Order: sequence, then structure tokens, then C-alpha cells
Amino acid sequence: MTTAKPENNSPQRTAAPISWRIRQRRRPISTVISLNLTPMIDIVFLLLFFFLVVSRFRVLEGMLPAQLPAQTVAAADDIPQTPIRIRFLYDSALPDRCKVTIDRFNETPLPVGLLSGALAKIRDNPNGFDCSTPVHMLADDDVPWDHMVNAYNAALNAGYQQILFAGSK
Amino acid sequence: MTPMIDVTFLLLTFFMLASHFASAEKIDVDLPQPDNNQSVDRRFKDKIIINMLYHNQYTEPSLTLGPIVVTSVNELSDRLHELGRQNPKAEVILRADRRLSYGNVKQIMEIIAAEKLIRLQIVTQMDQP
Repeated sequence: MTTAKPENNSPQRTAAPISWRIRQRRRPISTVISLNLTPMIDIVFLLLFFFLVVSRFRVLEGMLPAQLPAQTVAAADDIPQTPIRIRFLYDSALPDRCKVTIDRFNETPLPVGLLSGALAKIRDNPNGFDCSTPVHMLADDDVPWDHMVNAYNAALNAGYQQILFAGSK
Repeated sequence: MTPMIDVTFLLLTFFMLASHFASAEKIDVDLPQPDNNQSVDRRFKDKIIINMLYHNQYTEPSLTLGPIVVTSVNELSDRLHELGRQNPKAEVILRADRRLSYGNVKQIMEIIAAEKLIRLQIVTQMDQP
């Protein structure tokens, strides 16, 4: 007579104790929690493209102070000083398209780049010229504006305080 | 994916800080860039910005008064007259293209002076640091 062995899946064997089942329920559920980053990435890319297209890099700009004539009559006791006259003559044959001369000092044309040095030399001249001496810039209408600003800057660099653009007659 | 997001944020921050929006008043002008530039970056409360744009040597430059396109020198004169009446101490900021001829700029300077606006600032491009 053989006695039948109880099977593994018998209710007696599978039934776990109550305490064990409670412990099993309390075990944390192993689900993967992830943040959906797609909308954020979309917006960040959108912003990046916006800034790439709309923006431009800053160009540093500076200002050279100037004063325009107030069209008032000068006081009677103002004794006009002998000015330094810089002449800009248009010449299309030259690479700079103009030649620069300074009356009485540099009658031979000089490059605009050397103007600052030439004006500094005149300022240091003991013949009554100093920083308060007016500098008059007389130019042909076709002379590039770039040269005029360069010359104005050169005169400021040499320390002159009264720099005047000659107007139309 | 994290490195890509890092790089994207870095690029975004860079562009936000290093760039500025196109100003309607300051139109893109090829400004003079003198050697040993003596110009200073200044801010003015009361200012009138005049932009002079170069097209070619045969056509007159385009003019804008701040963001407003000015079609003729007479219109510029009228508008400056009105602005000068409101604020005669306003600084006139002249942004003229370097390729323009002196005659073009001189004409505008004479109009400004005629409207009794005597404070002028000639704008140049400063050297990059």
C-alpha cells in the first residue's frame, strides 16, 4: 500500500501564513517613475532657435561730442585766434580718395593716419598754438565721411578743444 | 539625453546673455571706426537719433529719425523743429554711414543747427575689447 505524497500545489502547502501575506502586501511596488521631458526640450529648442534667429551680437558704439553753431553774434571783445586749417581735397585717383593738408604747416599732403601726430606737433609749437587754438576742417563735399570722423578724432586725440566743421558758404 | 539638455541650456543661456535685440531706433549702419578712438559710450535721457544709410554713390542716403523713416530733408527739418521746440537741450545722435560723402552729412548737420539743436554726438564704432 502506497501512500500518496501530497502535491506541491495542494492548498495546504500553498497557503502561506497570514503574517507573510501581510508582509508581501506592504512591499513597495516596483514601478518606474519617469518625468516626461519631451515638452520641456521642445520649448528649450524653440527658445534657442528664437534667440539664434532674432538676436545679433552687440557692436560697441561710442560718441564723439560736438557742438553746432548756435547762430548768435559773438561778443565784441572776443579776439579771434588764428585757427589751424585742415584741408581735405577730393582726389579719386588716390586710394584714400582725398589728400589732407594743414595750412602753413603741412602743405604737402599727408595721410589721415598721421594727422594726430602732425596736430600734436603744432600744439607743442612755441608760436602761440595750444589746445585752445581752433581747428577748422575744410573739406570738399565728395570727401568720405570716414576721413572727416578720423580727422575729428585725431584732433581730439591731440587735445584740441575747439574743432569746427566748415559749413557751406 | 542629460548631456544634450545640458548643452542646449548652456547655448540658450549664452545667446540670451551675449545678444541683444535689434533696436528699431538704432538701424544697422556701417559706422566710422577711427584709429585710437576717443569716443565714449554715453547714455542720454533726452536724445534724437538720426540714422543716415548708404546705398550707393549715385543715390541720396536714406534718413530715419529714430524708428521713423524720413522721406525728405524738408520732412526732417519739420520733425526736428517740433522736437527742438519740445526739448531744445536734447542731444542729437548722428549715426552716419562711413561711406557717405561729407556733403551729405554736412547738409544734415546744417539742418540740425538751423533748428537750434546745438548738442551733437557723432557715433563711431569702438574697438572690440
